[in-house]
Amino acid sequence: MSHVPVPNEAELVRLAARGHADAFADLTRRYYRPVAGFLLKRVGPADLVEDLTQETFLQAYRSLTAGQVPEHFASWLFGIAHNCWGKWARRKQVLSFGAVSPEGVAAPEQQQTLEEAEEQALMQERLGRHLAELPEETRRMLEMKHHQGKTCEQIARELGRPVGTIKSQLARTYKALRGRLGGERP
Amino acid sequence: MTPMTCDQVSEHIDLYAVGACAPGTAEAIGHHLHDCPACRELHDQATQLSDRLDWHFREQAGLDRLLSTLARESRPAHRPWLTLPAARRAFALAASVLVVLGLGVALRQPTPDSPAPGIVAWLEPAGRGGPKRGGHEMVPGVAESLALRDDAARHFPLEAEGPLSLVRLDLRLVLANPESRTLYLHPDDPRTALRLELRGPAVKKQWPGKGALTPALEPSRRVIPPGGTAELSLPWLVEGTRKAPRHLFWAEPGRYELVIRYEVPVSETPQGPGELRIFTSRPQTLVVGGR
Repeated sequence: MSHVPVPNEAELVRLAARGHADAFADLTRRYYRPVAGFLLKRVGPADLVEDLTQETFLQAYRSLTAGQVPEHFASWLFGIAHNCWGKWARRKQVLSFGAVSPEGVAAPEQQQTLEEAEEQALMQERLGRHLAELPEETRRMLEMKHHQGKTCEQIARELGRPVGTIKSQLARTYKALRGRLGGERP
Repeated sequence: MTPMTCDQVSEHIDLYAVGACAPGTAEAIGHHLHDCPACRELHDQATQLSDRLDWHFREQAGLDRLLSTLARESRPAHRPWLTLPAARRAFALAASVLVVLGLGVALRQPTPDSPAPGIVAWLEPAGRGGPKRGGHEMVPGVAESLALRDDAARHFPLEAEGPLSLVRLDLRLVLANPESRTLYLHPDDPRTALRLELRGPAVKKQWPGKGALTPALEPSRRVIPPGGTAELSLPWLVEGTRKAPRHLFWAEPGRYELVIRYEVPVSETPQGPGELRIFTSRPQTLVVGGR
């Protein structure tokens, strides 16, 4: 993956396998966003993304410290992420009563997975940059909505603005963000 | 209700995706989406943006939590029973199974030669009129249905056409201790949280006033004797922490998906602080209002 400095990675993996927690923490920081992006595309809700990402890294850590040292860490790690997601999808399938159709869980090609994870990570970075360019009040509205889970009515009360203004501002912002992230319908 | 055009839907789709549309508008959009694949695609994009924004605001905290968990994992544990390989395997097993949603659940107890699973948990209907626990056996970890109840105490099975408003969860979360030692729950610990992932056509979230807490977040320590159980009621769709609870509810008819996650520290001693255990239900589908 182009945004991940590769030269030290094999050494970090060897150190992590010998029980150096700092080395695995470094690998975690490097791959947290790509793995989360890979899962975000598949499962959606942030709580589930965090759970499955955590499960992925914990399994990787336990396997490494149990003596399993992969030749190519990134592919191996995304293989674990794919398995974690597959388990979740199969559980979902078991309990999908009626019309909810289960997602397929066939493993994608390795290269395809890495490219997709990189694309998702870049998308998240781009979103961060676009958010940083927004006016302070708009950023605050989004944080209140998506971080604190507040309703438009609550946001309006806190900011001392009419609810209609808050909704219009949010709608404009969402549409602009979708456009800038390339998500608009052609 | 006046039907909407694609342009009108496009104008409101982002607010619809975050559950911020007026009920009438949401209903009209829902009907339009049912018949319009192009607008459904737009809705998917709006939902993806909403998910991406949710994740943006919690990504750093998630990484911090993971690094903290890894740091604990790499340290020699202070609780010998948790460091034993069998106990660790059992912990993983328990974490993968733990919560069962269902009517009449009879969760199989571990056999003497199976690994000790730690606490197991499931949910069962709390209201009168529903089937009682033990009514019929089911496979551990697989739910058959979920009880809903409206304010008139009418019960609705999982896929019934319950009314749009006033429907509430009416469940008890049961935590069972199949082990031979006493275990202590610490809901008073600030790490305790109840997470409800409710996804569907229009989900609203509101910060409730004081007193709206679900008992699962009440700050009273609970003791579970060997072989005993502790019960916590989940009367409403309330989630969050003791300091920041919030109500979730559906704002239009349709099919919703619900995942319940209870995070509570558990220890072998009354003092705690306890190891954080996470009990997660499998995704459940609910149909509200009928369509």
